[in-house]
Amino acid sequence: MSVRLDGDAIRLDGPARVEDAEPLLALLHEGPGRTVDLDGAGPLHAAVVQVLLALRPPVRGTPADPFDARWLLPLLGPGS
Amino acid sequence: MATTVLIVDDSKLARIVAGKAIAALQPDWTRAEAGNAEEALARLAQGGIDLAVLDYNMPGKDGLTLAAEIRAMHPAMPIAVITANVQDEVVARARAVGATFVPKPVTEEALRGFISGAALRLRAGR
Amino acid sequence: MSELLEQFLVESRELVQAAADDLLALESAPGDPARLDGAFRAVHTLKGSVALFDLAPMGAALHAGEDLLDALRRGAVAPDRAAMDALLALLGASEAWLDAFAADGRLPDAAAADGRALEAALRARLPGNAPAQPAPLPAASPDWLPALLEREAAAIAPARAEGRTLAALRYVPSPDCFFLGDDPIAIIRALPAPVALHLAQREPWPADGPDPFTCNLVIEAVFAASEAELRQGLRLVADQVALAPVPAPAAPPAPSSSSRGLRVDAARVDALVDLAEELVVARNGLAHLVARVGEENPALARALAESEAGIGRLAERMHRAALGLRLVPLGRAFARLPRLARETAGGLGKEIALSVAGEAVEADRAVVDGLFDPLLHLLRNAIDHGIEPPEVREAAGKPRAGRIALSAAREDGWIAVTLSDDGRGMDPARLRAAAKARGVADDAAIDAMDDAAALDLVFRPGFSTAGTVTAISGRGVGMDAARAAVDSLGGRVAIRSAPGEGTTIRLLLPAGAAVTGVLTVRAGGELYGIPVDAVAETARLPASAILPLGAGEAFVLRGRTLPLLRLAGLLGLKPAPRGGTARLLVTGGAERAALEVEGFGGRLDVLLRPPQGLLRGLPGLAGTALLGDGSALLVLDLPDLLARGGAA
Repeated sequence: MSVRLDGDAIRLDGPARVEDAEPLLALLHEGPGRTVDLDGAGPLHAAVVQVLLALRPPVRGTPADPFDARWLLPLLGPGS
Repeated sequence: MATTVLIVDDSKLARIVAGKAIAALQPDWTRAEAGNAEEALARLAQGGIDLAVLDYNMPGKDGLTLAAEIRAMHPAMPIAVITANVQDEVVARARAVGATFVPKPVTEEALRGFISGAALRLRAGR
Repeated sequence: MSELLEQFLVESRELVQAAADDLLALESAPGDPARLDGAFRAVHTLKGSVALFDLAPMGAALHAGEDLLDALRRGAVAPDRAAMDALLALLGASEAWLDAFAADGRLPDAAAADGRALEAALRARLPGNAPAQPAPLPAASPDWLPALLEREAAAIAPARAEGRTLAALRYVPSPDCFFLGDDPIAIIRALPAPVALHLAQREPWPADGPDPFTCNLVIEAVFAASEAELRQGLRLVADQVALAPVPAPAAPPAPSSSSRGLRVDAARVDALVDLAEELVVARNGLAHLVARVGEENPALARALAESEAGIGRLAERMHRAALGLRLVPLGRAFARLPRLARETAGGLGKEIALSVAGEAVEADRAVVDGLFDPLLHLLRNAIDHGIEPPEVREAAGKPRAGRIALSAAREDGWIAVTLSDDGRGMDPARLRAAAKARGVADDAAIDAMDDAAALDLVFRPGFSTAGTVTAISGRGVGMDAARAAVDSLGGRVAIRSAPGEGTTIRLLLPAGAAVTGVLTVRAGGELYGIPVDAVAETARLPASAILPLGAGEAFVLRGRTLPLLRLAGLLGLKPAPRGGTARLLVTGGAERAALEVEGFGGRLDVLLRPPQGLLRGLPGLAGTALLGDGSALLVLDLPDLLARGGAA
């Protein structure tokens, strides 16, 4: 997967692997208000989910993987 | 120095297959090979090995026993044990020595988790 | 007996029955989680209650049973025949121990050894790495489960309501699992049928954000799958996951123990019934007095008669209502039969399929209580002598398992209980031969019997045609004792059978005592009662209206000629001389006849009791009734009497 900055949003493209957690963390630290866009994201690795849970950035888009969309997304939303 | 993987399997064919899978995941890593436990330990003694992938089903000392011996000398080295034999005892023994269990057939996907994790650990360790 | 002890006995017996029902249901629906759960809970509760009394061997055996049932419902052990046999043996022993405890206040001497044997048999079925565990704390629910269930209640509720099997897990991945290549989310993603998922941190997140290389997650989830299925997908991380079944919602209370019901001491109901009966009898005494007043003060007599009639109606209704309290479903007598039938069949190497119907039909408690023993005898006989061994049945093109059907139905004022089987049937010729050989009756009488009567020979004492006398049904002791028991309940037993056509045994039992209206009459100087239903009308005729007809007499009533019989004659009594007037009653029914009596008494409402003791077997006797003055009235069975008297 690639973790890249697109304007002021962080885009996750393709399956999120363990090594993607670090770059995601770095990008969020640099821009604390940034939104994370999951529209192109494949199945999320626990390390990536962990970063999103810990920092709770605003999240938008729907991951392609049905499990992620149904069960993970609600946990990552605001005030979960 | 490039990250070096030691692949241990009594079958040359199996060593090639594992080598290819690792190369696909980490093209710039170096691969070393051994055909049995003695050769593996000898190669390890020479130094420069960063992680090991061991076949469980070898004549003489099996992969788990070898893993235990390697673990004793290298407390933090990522070790994977490959086997088609997914029995609870095997899994438990692997866990006991902190080795990752990789099911056959050995493909990119099968190894991906271990290799990613190992890469992570090696990076973190540096 | 203390109230606590009584309560314990009642509930414990119910628990044993409930567990047995669940286990037997598992034979046709193996692995049904609701049944396994039900059996487990019943045994678990029973074990707990037993601990209140000095019943150590029973408690230990139940503990082993509980462990086995737990292993079964967790999927760690397969519900095979050996496990079922061991559990049913435990229940059978528990029942016997409860009886002994009730009778003697302690367990029989053999209980310790028997208990150990049961324990061994049960524990032998447990997986090898589960040695007898020390008594676990009650309610072995893990401490994380209640909070999880509460939090996910809304998500779980629909699946729970559908009765699906649910299991919960708590997965705490080891902090360095990423290095080992584990992805905990991927592992959860691969499990079947998620119902709820929750993620939380194991430790507080570090102030500057999570360490991307360390797993700090706690995953709690619920799945609509069994623990066994989940365990499969969690094998690689089994040491980091705790699994627990989600208990099913408490089953709705069975109708018999619903809050609308009331447990009443049987003795109290009996006392009420006795009082109601006394009232009926006392009211009859009032009727006599009213009759006496009638001569002196007709106006007062009329008023009193009305009042007496009203009291009579009330007394009758009250009696019926009180009797109704004594009504219990026949299911009580049937309940233990399936398990005992299975045991009997197993012991004889036979296979049977027993179907039971009509459990809801109600009858008087005494009848239902008294039915169990004879039914058991008859059932055992059917399995022993009626149903052929499986190979023989197969060779004959029958299903291996013998079909036995037990059913109950109401027929007018009677309860008909039918036991039929598709076994080898009974051979009248063989029965005759055996009866002669055993000298059960004299040869001439036996030869004179028709086939139906020959079948009846099995009920004679000392009769058994079995090639081998088995311990199960013995020397035909069961059959004659069974008939005697049914007789004493006021009922009858009849057999229909033919070689190769199976056997049907029909029991007719009185539904219960009832108030019967009788007309009292004098014959041969004695007072008798005749059920009002049997009488079409009464009449007084001048003696001259009676005409000779052949060997008897007749008279003409509204253009019809009716034969006339003397009731005294039918009863074998010397008739009093006829005066100028003949008093007759005309019988109801298709074949009209007239009975001459010496006088009419009044109409009474009496409680008809089936003939007991010496009166049993007297022809033409329907029963007896107690009169207001304490004397007993013989009530006649007119159709029977007329049939024997050979009405023209």
